[in-house]
Order: sequence, then structure tokens, then C-alpha cells
Amino acid sequence: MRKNFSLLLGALLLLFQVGIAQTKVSGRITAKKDGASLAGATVQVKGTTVSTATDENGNFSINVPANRSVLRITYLGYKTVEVNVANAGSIAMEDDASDMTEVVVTGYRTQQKKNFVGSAGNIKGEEFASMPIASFDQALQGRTPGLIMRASSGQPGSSGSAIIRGRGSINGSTEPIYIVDGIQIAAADFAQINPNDITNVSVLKDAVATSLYGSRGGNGVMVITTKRGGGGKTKFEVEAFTGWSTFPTFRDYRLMTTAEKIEYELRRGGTSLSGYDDAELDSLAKINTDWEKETTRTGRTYSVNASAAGGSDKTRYFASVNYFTQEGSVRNTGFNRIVGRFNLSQDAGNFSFGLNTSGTVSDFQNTSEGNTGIGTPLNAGIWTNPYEQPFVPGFYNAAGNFVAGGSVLTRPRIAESFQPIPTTDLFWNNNNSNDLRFIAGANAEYRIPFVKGLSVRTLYGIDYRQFNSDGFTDRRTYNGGFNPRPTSGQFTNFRTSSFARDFFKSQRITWTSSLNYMKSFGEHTIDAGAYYETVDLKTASSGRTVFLLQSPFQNEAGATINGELLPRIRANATEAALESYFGLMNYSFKNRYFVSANIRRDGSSRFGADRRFATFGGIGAAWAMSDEAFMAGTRSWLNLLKVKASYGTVGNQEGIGAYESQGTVSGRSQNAAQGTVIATPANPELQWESRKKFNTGVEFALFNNKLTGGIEYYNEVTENLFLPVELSRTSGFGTLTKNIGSVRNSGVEIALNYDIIRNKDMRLSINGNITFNKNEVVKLAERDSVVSGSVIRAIGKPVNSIFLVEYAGVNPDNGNAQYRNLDGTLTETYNLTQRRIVGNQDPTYFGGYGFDFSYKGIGLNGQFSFFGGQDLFNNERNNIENPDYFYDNMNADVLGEWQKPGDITNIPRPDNEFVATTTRFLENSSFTRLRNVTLSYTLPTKLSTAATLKSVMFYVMGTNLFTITQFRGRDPEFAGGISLTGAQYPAMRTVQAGIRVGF
Amino acid sequence: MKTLINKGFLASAMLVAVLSGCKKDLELSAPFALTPDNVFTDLASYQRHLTGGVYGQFASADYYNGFAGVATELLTDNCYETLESLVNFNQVHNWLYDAADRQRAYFTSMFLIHYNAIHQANAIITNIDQVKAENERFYNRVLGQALAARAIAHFDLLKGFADHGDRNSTAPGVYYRRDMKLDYPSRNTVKEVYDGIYADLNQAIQLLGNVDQAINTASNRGSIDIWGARAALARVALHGKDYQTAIQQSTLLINQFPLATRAQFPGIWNDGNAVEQIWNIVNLSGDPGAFPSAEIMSFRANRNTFGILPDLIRLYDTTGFGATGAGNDIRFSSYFFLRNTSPNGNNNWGLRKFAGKASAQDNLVNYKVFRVAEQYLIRAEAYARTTQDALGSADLNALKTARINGWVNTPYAGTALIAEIARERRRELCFEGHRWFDQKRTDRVMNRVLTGTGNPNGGVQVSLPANSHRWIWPIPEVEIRANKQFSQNPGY
Repeated sequence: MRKNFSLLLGALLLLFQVGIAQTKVSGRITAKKDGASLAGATVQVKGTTVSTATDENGNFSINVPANRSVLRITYLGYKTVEVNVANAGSIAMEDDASDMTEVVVTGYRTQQKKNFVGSAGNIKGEEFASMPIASFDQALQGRTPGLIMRASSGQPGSSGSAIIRGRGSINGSTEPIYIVDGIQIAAADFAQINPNDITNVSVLKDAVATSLYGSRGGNGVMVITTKRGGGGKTKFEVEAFTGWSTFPTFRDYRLMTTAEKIEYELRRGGTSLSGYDDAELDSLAKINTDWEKETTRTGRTYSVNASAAGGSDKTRYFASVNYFTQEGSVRNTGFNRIVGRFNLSQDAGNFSFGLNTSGTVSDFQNTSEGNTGIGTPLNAGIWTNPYEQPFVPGFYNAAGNFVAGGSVLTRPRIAESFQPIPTTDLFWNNNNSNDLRFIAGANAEYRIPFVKGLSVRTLYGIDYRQFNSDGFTDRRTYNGGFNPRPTSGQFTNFRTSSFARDFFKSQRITWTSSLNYMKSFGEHTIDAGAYYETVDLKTASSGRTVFLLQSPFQNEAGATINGELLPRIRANATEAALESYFGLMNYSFKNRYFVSANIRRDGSSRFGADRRFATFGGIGAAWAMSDEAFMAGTRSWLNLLKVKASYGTVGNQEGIGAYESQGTVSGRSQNAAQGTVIATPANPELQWESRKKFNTGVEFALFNNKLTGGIEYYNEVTENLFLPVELSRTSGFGTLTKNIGSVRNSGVEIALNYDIIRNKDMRLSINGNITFNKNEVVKLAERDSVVSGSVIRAIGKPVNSIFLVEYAGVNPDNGNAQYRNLDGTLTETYNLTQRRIVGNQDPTYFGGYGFDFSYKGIGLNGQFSFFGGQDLFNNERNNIENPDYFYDNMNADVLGEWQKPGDITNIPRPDNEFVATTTRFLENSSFTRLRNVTLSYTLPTKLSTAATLKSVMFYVMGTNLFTITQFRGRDPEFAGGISLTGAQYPAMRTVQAGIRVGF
Repeated sequence: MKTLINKGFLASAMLVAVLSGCKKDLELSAPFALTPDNVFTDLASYQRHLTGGVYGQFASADYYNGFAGVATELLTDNCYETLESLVNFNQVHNWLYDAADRQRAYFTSMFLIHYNAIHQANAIITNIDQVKAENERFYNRVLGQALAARAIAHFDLLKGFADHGDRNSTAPGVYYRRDMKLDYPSRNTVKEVYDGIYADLNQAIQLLGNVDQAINTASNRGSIDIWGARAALARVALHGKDYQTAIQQSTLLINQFPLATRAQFPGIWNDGNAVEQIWNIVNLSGDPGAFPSAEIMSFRANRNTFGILPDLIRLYDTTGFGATGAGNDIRFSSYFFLRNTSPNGNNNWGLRKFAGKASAQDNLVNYKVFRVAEQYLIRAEAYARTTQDALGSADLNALKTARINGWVNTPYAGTALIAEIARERRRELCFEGHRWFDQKRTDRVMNRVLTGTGNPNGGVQVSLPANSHRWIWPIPEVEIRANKQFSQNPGY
């Protein structure tokens, strides 16, 4: 260490020797557009080889020889500026209308896209700022290649699920990590950021780009940068919108009407309807309830956002507040949120420091989803018979128990089908939660004055989340029946209501410190850093359930505490930590040859003492070929041609339990005594998953930067996969996670943008991106395939392949279901050995495309996203086509089931043995969706100035207006596995109108 | 130059200070869990593991509070699947199960949970010698229960997953697990498994005969004491046709535990008393999975998944039931209730046995593993099968006299005795998890209506042929897939 330090000093001394007969000139370079600092801009003394680069904050200082007086400043994507040294204090650079203005933010570091040797996608804040989606992460869908972003639910406020460059793990996590202004936050917190606060989202993909996050970056990294003040006069902006959301009607099947259902039940026989006389049947036939209508509505959305940005040359700030409220399209669901943010940075001589803070309060009102439970309103909304009614006078005895024996019209809780009716559980039970999030990061930098370019930095950040939920379960509902009952006293065996209150807290502290050195000498620029980082994640939860007997209260105030009705308590806590040492180096020569390298040593508390630390590293290079002399002839049409490649390893430790390597012994009480039980055996050999990532690509800009884009190829192999190895059950355990097996993702990403028209009054551009991903299992533990339910992991096939027997229609002679054997022959016997791979959970290609048109003040833009080559088992159809479920409502298709020899149909006779797990319910879930379309009008400056305003814009926007798909369920967008179990809350369709004013 | 170096040192000193300030310890332990390495310290810690690990797993919803208890009965001719079940049981109920066990995963879960209970017992058995010196009679108390538990769990596996009707059979049994390894063993023979069960139970009886304090009280029978171990051995011996041992052990138990009076009898089923009970699973409000009969008749969901078949109802002497009281056979009103009369005029009977504590009807009640009534029937059968019909008939009549108002002593002999003992076992022990295994170990007859008709009387009759491979349950597919050494039962 000491030796290295003297070498460094030696190098510095050499640099000092050039200082003869020179004037030192310093200044700061910013973007004219928004006042942002431009880091890494080249400042050259015109006519010499003397040059330097700006630092993080756009500052530079250069020694100008006595006979020179003009500085030439170049920065890719900006128009080259030449200024006299006398005016060099503050230089604003103008946009060059090309996507090369983009910067890649890798956390601490901001690099010009041109210099960047890694692979990263960029999404600008304005692309999603006003979308009426409570979780803005979903708005990223289709915006950048390589990112699979799918909503797991349309429930207001629920977060999406992201996968970058394919599913790289089987048992471990596949979620990328999220970094806001250098601080790691939870995926759920990411979804709740105020989208209006964001300037940029970078999606980091390869080993070089993610190198700052080696211990965590295996699944890719999403880096979010929030807005900064520009300095100067304060700019205010206020935006408000209101929207209308509806429950989408994508579903491509029809449920039976009352008449059809009664006829069908009587045809099948055996339900209570068979015992009804004609008068009773007639009164039944008069009821025709549309259960979807009873449980859904048009939800309203309102949002207001206000921000202020400004400061001085030393101080910059940005402050904002956002209020968002959304009613769900399912009744009794909704969401509202308030987010406040304050970002501040201050320069003080050689010190600079800053603070980025945001606080969020969200309230959720949810309903149960994603299950086949009969007490789940979203299920019952489909299944409930149309001849049943939402609310009819109740018949309860004193104990609150349902009294059997009434006619159909007097059965309120349990319908004729023995199913709960959906409205009671939806309206009488509550499921509320309240979320408080606080993200704060303090950073400080000290530029060591006597060694130019050397600085010490530290960043301390906290991501804090406090989640409180409470739920009331009414004694009169289906779910209320499961509450305990008193076994003695006045109210023996009476039903009770229950109230549960839960508290969850998570706190992640990231502390990163580094020694950095940035220096340009001649045509060389180096930028290097040595880092030490710790991440500590603590969670704690506690909760209780109390029972209420005959109480007017719906919370603890009404709790009955004795006998069987003692409160239930629960609590848990975990902690996991990471410790990393790493070094990074970026080097550029002649501003056209670039090399980046990194090496790191990461330790995780999740692993046993011997396996805790692992070493990862990567290297990459890029060449801006178009800047070479021999390319001079092409400059008239080729503005940029850059080739790049990188290779490296990255680790993953997410997806296993915090204490999995140690084994866990839990507490368990039995017979009123407290005991212990071995929950998981010790697993001391567990170690890091490692990803080997290769990336190569070209970036180009053609025809005066009108056509820009890039093509990349990647090949990522995960080794030492966390794989559940099947144990002999005679050990007492099912599986044990081991580091066995390997998965590969390889693919091609293409992104293009074309400015068709670009003039003063009119702009029209189109953009598109597509990713082709091939996911395959390379190695498994000791065998070629592992089957679990209807999922197979087989060598050479995608990770979660769907494994089913092929359904081959109905034999017209006897109405039996037919299945196709592996040899192609037909059989009427379902046989597990005849399963084959019939589908794929994840898309093989996906992307998005859009257009952006403006004419004077009028703007129109639209964005589509698409997913192809993916399949989904539509269990929701099973729930309404299984002939055994005929006492509930069914798909009207079932009326066409086989009834007599010769019937040609796809639905077998009802008494044929029914097997759901065949290809009968497997559907292609590929889709294209108009994610967003906006029409806007900006008042001419003359008018807005007259109103003493800087800018005024009106707009209308539609979200999820239409979807093209062959999938027959409510929504093909689903991230929850191979089977759409049931009770899906589909993505809402929203139309909104808004206004944005700047002053 | 000198200043430069000094300031350089200052800078690096600053960095070192910053870095050492945030040095992170990666040696973390769970605040809400122990590890297998540190859980055992003294005899009391082994006692705690017996409570949570062994008895806790016995009480799980996949063990005695589930398919290894009342729910096994849904395979039998005692009940039929109603429409209220949502037809979620038809494959199991109608004996269409296979190794994939795709409908309710009963076999898969119980195979795992039984071995998990064995693992918890082995954690005690293989380590407890380290602290034997602390108190040898306390040691006996803990180790004795662990050994008995290990034997009982293996027997529960054997009677389901193997052709177990002969103590000395060389047919494949299950694996007798005596260690805590995560290895891949092959099956022991039925004889080897019985050998293990006998050895463990005999050692348990010996240890539990010399303990520092009583394991159960008169009102709380929640642990396996010496009587529990003897009851297990008597049951095991009957199944293995070792009638001498069965008679020997059941005699000791019959002498120890009186039968309930007619007045006491209902109290057995609502936990009003612990009469006749040798070992039960204590279920308390708040315990996970403490609802032994919920799969058959859920009072909490108001859902009668399985109705009682008329064939069983007709077995009882119900004279006087209803208007005037409980009826001649005291068991009937404790076991069943008239749930409703369906539109087609049928009486639909539901299961009241295990309805709840006191007068509550919420399925929360103790599960009775061993009752002395079973011991009467074990001894009666053992006598009958060793041509001691008079003694067998006497035991049978003793039980009937206790249960049936005005029962007149009736001598039985020969096949009539055997048949009446079988009927009495059904009357007495229905929905205590015996019927399936009784038919399996004897004549293998099982007939009833096909599910899904909602009508206990009419409909299509189905039967499970005596030669069906489904009398022996499938080894779960997951085991066969993981463990190539473990052979599948024929037919799957």
C-alpha cells in the first residue's frame, strides 16, 4: 500500500513539472438546457495538445500557455464551444439534438454515453412523468431493450416485477436491485417514488456497468437519479390531472345467464334446484345478477404535483410535493399517496456536500387476489350464480350462525351453491394498510487541494419503510366463520369478528466511502477509485389479532380477552449484511479508445464463515471508430460508430434466507408448553451464485444524427446456482439449497430512433426496441431434468418450461377426453409419463415502439409494448369449465359439452374423469398493448407570458386503452408464474386530463 | 515537498478513519431462531424439543390433525362426498390416487411430516447421552418418549405405505431412520421395520418405567407415558398378527384404565374429561392446524364436506334417539348429528365427533390417539384369532355393556365373533383413523356410492377390489424422483 502511494506521488510530480510560463484558468461547464453540470467534458487549449476533463460538478482548471487564449470545449452530444479564457468562468453548452447527450449514471458516477464501455439503457423522466399508474415502475415497460417489466397485479399501488436480460436464477432472486441517488432501496419502495421527481433511469446490464454493485448486481441494476436544482432563479411547476379507470373487459369468454344456468343445472341434476317446484324456479329465473358489475366500478384518479428548483452558483436545490389518489376499478379498493422531496447540494471551497431526502405516506385498501379461495371476492365475482343476489335480508340466529332451511331468496351468506357470495366479504371485511417510507442520503466530498484530481467521498444512506396493516373480518362473512368461538359463558359457540393489526419495519443502511482520482494528461484521461462499502438490512415485524364478541367496535376497543379469545401475537426480525472492497478504473485515450476495469471482494452474512467472501471482477473496452482519421470520408453521413465489448463476473446472494446456511430451530408451543423444532437443517456449504457476463455491441448515429441506435449481443451464464436439491423425504426434509447447476441467457437487443421530420415548427420521430432472449438450463444436479408440478427444468430448455399432457379434444363416439401420447397416438387415459414441454413462462422476444409528433404547440405521442413467445396456464378457465364445479356459474361454452354420440365438441361429457393439468387451458399469453397515448397542447409563449406564466400545457392521456392478445382471461400481463391461479385484478384502463403550468 | 507528503498522510488517515468507522461484522445470528448447533444445552432443552419438535409435529395438520387422523376416513365406506366439498376430494375419495398425488397431496405431505417428526426425535435420541449425567431419571423420561415417538411414526408410515399385515414379512416396508443424515436410503423389509418398532417401544417401556416425575396427569394425557408406549405396542402387535404381545399389553392397559360410564362418555368427545384416554393430541385455541375433523365436517366454514353413510348409521341401536334423548347406544349422539334433510327427502347426517370443546362447534378439540376402548377390541380380536373365543366374547360384551343401554350379554364365537368385533370397531372407533387400516389388514372390502351425486342412498355404487394396488398407498413421486434407491409400490 505504502509503495503504491509513493508511485502515485511520483506520477504526480511528473505532472507538476509542466508548469512553466502558464496561466491557470478555471471554470464550470453546464448544459444550457437545464443547467446540469457536465462531467467529463474535454477542455482543450486551442492549437495545443494541452487538455483536461471536467470533474463531477463540471469544474475544470487548465494551465494555458502564455501565447494562447482560446479554449475549445467538446462534449459528445453538445455543440462544440470555443471561448476566450477571459470568459471561461461559466460555460453553457447547447444541445446537439442527438441521443449521445445521454449520460449513463452508474450510481456515484456519471459517464458520457460515448465513453461508456458497458451496456446500459436509459429512460428519461419525462417519458413516464404523468402516467396515472400508482406504481411508476410499470410505466417503464417497453421503454428500453433487455428489461422485462410486467405488472403482477392491477391493484392500485402494487409493484411490478422486473427481469433484466432473462431469468438468471432458478431458486435465487431474479429481481434487479434499485439504487436511488446512490442508495439501495427495496423494489417496493422504487415503485412508490414520485415519477415527477425523476430525471433519469439507467438500466445497467453487463459486468462493467454493474461493477459498482458486484455483490448485488447479478440481476442488473436500476439506477434512478432525481432532479437537481439548476442554480439561478427559482423555477416553479405545477401539474394536476384527473382520470377515470375502468375494469377492463378483455376477457374472451361469456358466463352463463340465469336461464342457461338453470337449464344446465337441471340437465346435470343433483343440485338443490332439482328439488324446486316450478314456482320456485320461476322466481329464481327472474334474478339475473351481473356479478362483475356488482363488484367493479369506474374509479377516479386525482393527482397534483408541485415543484420548485433553483439556487445559486454554490447552492442548488429541488423541492417537490405530490399527491396522488386512485380508486380501484374493483369496489372497496384504492390507494392514495403523498410524497415530498428535498434535494440540496452545496459547494464550499474544496468541500461539497449534499442531502437527498424523500418521504412517502401511502394508504392502501386492498382485496385478496391470486388464489382460488372461495372467500375471495374477485373469484366469487366470476363463479357466483347469476340467480343469486348481492344482498338479501339475513337469517341469523342469536349466535350469528346461518340458519339452514330457508328458500333461496333468504340465504344471505352461503349461496345455494355453498359458496359465499362475493359482496359480503368485499363490503363487510376491510383490508387496509399504510406505508411510511423515508429515503435519505447524505454525501460529502473533499477535494484534496494539493493533489489535483484526488478526492475522498462518503455517502451514507438509509431506506426506511414502515408498513402498518389492519384488517377487520366480520363475523357474518365467510372468512369470519374461521374465528374462534367461546366454549363457555353467556355467548358459548357464538361467532366472533376479528381484527388484525400488523407492523413491519425495514431499514437498509448503505455506507460507501472512496478515494478517487481523476486526471487528464495530454490525450490520456484516467478516473479511478478505491471503495469500501457496507450494506446492512434489518427487518422487524410484529402483529396481533384480537377477537370481538358482540362489540360495536371494529378494532382493539372491542376485543374480548379471555378463554379461547386470547389475542394472537406474532413477531419476527432478521438482519443481513454485506461488506465489499473494490477498485474501479476508467481510462480513455484520444477520446476514442476507452477501457474500464474493476475488481472486488465481497462478503455476505448469508453464507457460512468459510464461504463468506468471493472475488469478482470485469473488464471492458470501446472504440469510437468514427473519430479515426481513416473514417474522415464517411463523416458526411456517419456521425458516430462505436464498438464495445466487456466481460466479467458478478455475484448474487439474494433469494436465500438470511440464516439459511446456519439452519434454523423455531419455537413451537404444544400442550401449553413452549418447545423447539428444527425448521431447516444447517447448510454450511452454501456460497455465492456467480454470473459470467459477456457483452458486445455497436452504437451508431447516421444522417446528421437523425437515425441513432445500437445493437448488442449478450451471453450470461450463472454458475453455482442456488438449486433446491431434492432430498430423500426419509430425512424429514424436502429440499436443500445447494450451489449446483448453471443457466444461460443469451440474446440480441436492438434499439432505434429515427427523426423523420425535424424543423422549427414540426417534429416527428419514431422509436422502437426489441430484445430476443434465449434462456436455457445448462446444468442441473445429477440429472437431466427436475419436474415440480407442471413446471420442468430440463437441460437445454428455458428455466420454467411448462410440462403438460397434450389435450386432443373429445372422442365424438363416447364423449371422453382424449390425450396425445408422446408417440402421437391418441388415448383416453391421462398418463403423467406422456407429458412434454408445451410452453414457456417468459417471453422469447419483447420490446416496445412509439412515435412522437409535435407541430407548434400540439403534441401527440404514443407508446406500445409487446411480449411474444410466452404462455400461461389459464386456471381461471379451469375454475369455470371443470364439470365438477357446476353448482357454480360456468363458462357458457360448457353448454356445448358432449351429450350424445356424434357430437363434435371440445368439451368432454361431464362425468368423464376431469384432469385440469393438460394443454386444454394452456394459452398463448403474448400481447401487444397500447401502454400510453398522449395528446397535448402548449400555449404559445406570447399568451403564457401575458398571464405572467412561463409555460402552460394541457393534455389528455389514455393508458392501457387496448390490448391485442389471444389469451382469453382478464389480462395476459402476469408475472406470478406459469399459472394464472385465479382472482386476477387486471391492469386498469384509464383516461385522464391534465394541466401543467410553469412559472 | 515535505508538506505534500504530510498532507498525503493526513488524507489517507482521514480515509482510514472513515473506513474503519463503518466496518461491518458479518457474523449475524437470528433473533427469532436458534440453530441445530446451539439448541441443545441441558436436559430441559431436550424436553423442550420433545414438546415442540416431536409433539408439535404429531399435532400438525398433515399428521394426527389431518390425514393421519380423522381425514383417513374419507377413503372408507363410512362417509360420502357431498356437493359442499366442491368436489375437491373426489380423486382421493374414489381411490383414483397415483404417485403424483395431484389432488390434495395427502400422501406426499404425510410421508414428509412423519419423517420430520422422526428427525426431531432422532435429534434427541442421537445427542441426549451427552447430558445423561445431569439426571438419569429425567434422561429416561425424555429419551423414553422420543423412542416411543420414533416407533409410532414409523408404524404410521408402515401401515399406510407397505403391505404390513405380517410381523415377519420380507415385503418392502419403509426406511427405519435412526440418524439425522440427509442421505438416500433404500427400503427396509416389513420385518426390519417391525423389529425397529419393537426395539424402540420395548426400550421406551423400560425407560418410562423409571422416571423422575409423572409425564401425564389424570386430566391431561398429552404425552406418551409408559401406557402410551404399551398402547402403541398392543396396536402394532395386532396389525402384525403377534397376538401374544397384543394380549399381554392390552391386558395391562385394561387393568389400568376403566371404561367410561354412559354419563361420562359424551365428555370424552368435548374434552369435558380424559376418561379412557391414554394419549391424545392436545389442541388449544391458537395452535396451528388444531382442527382434527375439519376436512370431514367444518363447523367454522359451515361446510359438510363428507356426510355419514346410512350403512354406518344403521349399525347403531338408535332406539330412543331424538325426542326422548341420546338413544340406546350412547355413542350415536356423540358421534353424529342430523345436518339437514335434503330436497330429495334424505336425512343427511354429519360428523359431531371432534366438533369442539364443551358446547362449542368449531372443530377445535383434542385428537384421541389411544383410548382404552380400542384395547378391549384389540384383546378381543387377539383372543378370537387364537381360538380363545370365550375370552374374546367377554371383552366385546364388556364394551357393549358400557355403551348400550340395556345390553344383554350375548356370547359370540368363531367367524361371527370376528365379524362382530369388526362391526364393533367400526361403531366404536369410526373417524379415529382405524377403518381403512382394519379393512386393509383383514378382508379388504370397501363399497359405497360414487361421489358427486350428493345423494347418500342412490347413485352409482363403487367398490375397491381386494386385489387393488391402491390398498397400499403410493410412495410419493417426489421421493422416487429424489431417491433412486427407494422402490415404488406395485401398480403405481
